Amino acid sequence: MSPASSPIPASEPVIEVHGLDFTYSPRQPLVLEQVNLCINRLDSICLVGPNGGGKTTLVKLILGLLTPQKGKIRVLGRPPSGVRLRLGYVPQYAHYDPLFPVTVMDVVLMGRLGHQPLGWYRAADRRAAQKALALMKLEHLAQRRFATISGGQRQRALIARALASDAEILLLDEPTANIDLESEQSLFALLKELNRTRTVVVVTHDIGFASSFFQRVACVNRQVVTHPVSELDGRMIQELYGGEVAMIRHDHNCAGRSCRPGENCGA
Amino acid sequence: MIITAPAEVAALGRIAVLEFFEALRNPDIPFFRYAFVVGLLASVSFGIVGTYVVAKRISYLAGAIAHCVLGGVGAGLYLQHQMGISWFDPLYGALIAALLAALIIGLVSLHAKQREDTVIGALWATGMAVGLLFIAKTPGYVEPMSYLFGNILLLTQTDIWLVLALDLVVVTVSAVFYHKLLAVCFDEEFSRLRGLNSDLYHLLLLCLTALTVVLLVRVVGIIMVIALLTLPAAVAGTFARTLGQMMLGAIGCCMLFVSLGLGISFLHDLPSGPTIILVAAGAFMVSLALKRQ
Repeated sequence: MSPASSPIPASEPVIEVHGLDFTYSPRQPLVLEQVNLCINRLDSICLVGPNGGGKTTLVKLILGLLTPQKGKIRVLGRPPSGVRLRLGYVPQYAHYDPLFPVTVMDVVLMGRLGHQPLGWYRAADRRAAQKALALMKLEHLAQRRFATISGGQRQRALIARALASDAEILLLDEPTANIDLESEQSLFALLKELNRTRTVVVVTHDIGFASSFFQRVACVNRQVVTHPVSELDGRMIQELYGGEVAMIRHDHNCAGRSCRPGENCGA
Repeated sequence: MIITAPAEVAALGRIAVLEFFEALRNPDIPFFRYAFVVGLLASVSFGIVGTYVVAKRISYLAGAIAHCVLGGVGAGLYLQHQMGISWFDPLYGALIAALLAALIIGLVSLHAKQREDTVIGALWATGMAVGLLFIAKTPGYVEPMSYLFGNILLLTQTDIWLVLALDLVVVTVSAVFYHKLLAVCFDEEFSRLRGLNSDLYHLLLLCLTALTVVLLVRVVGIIMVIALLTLPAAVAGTFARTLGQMMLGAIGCCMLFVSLGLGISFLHDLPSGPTIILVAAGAFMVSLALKRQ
């Protein structure tokens, strides 16, 4: 499934953030301050940074779920609220209620909401959901209860939901949290594949592993600084996180070997 | 009397069932028939709205709405009997109080999350206090226990029509907005991303809950209405794969609990509300035990 044809050619910016300030309450300090960011079509970029640094907030601002106090955000050349159906969002699956009665197919169909004027899904919606499930190799689980499938499968189901609307930009919030190493590796391989036709933005703490899949890294800690992934090293990470950082390599070339701060962790 | 033979148990069971059906046909006790019919019809609304309440985990919001109903009932009684506004049925007061509480609670839960539990707790107690004060100032007309714990003697034929109308509203709303309500209950944030006004759907659910609570308070009472709203849905949710299955299961469970509860209460001369609730609670325990196996 490839996204609907976009008028924006590759290398043209699809996400533009200029002079953005954001706080959840006027009485609290700014979560993001003077943020500038430009992401081009077919870019793959990971957002890294400490907890509370503003990574998820930045994603929600790009999605139009939050409104900045200052600055401008343009997505696909328009304000985010105008292009929501062209954006695919994958939140952390851990926030879902494990007792909620919903099938995998129901979850994926939610990606089609907004495509029908009345309340019920049409045949086209079901076809699109089936296609997204097939892409994620989850057709056989379509009628299973969402809570009963594995963490990696749930993450794939949520990506299928994001893809069901032919999303041109995929934004994923810590997709590898709570899943095992094997699922994590297959997930990043899948994202790499999806990146051939879509822009991919991923929030992650797993810098070492993610760096092998992404072109650029955006360090988010109230402000945002982007680097080519090749420039990412231990010193930079240490500065970003504000202290000693233990890095563990867990790719196939050097599984489990610890790196010292300052050592390049981009496998 | 010690009953040992299964045949004796079966015979006694048959007699009990016959007595129950006899009572339903007895023209001298129409309230019992009304209670049974209202209970069965109410199961539809309880099953559907209860499913949303349980799935979205907002039973404490529904509890607060239920307790605010007493304030409206008390004010209605006071206006009717002390102020001479004879057309103002306590039901109108209950309806206004419940919808008002639903909107306040809904807005607080959406926009002042950090104060949610405090505000809900305050509304919960204030609703009860207002109701009891009004009832105290309207002596001789009502026994507060009837509203707190339910009294099937209060039921009339009008209640059947009211509950039928409620069923129609609940079934229509949930059929038209099924997928949207499902999405909002499952993932509010993603629903907003897909252009749904999730705040509006949240308020819609709370208003439906308020309507259901108001019309069913007379059967099981304010304190226990929340149990009948949540227990059948919780039992059904233990085994359901989809929200629709959970709704159908909850409707069936609720009908069963109401019938069994009314039957037991009639045969053993027990208050109907608590009996229905204990049947539902027993079934919930059994469902949890079965799920664990």
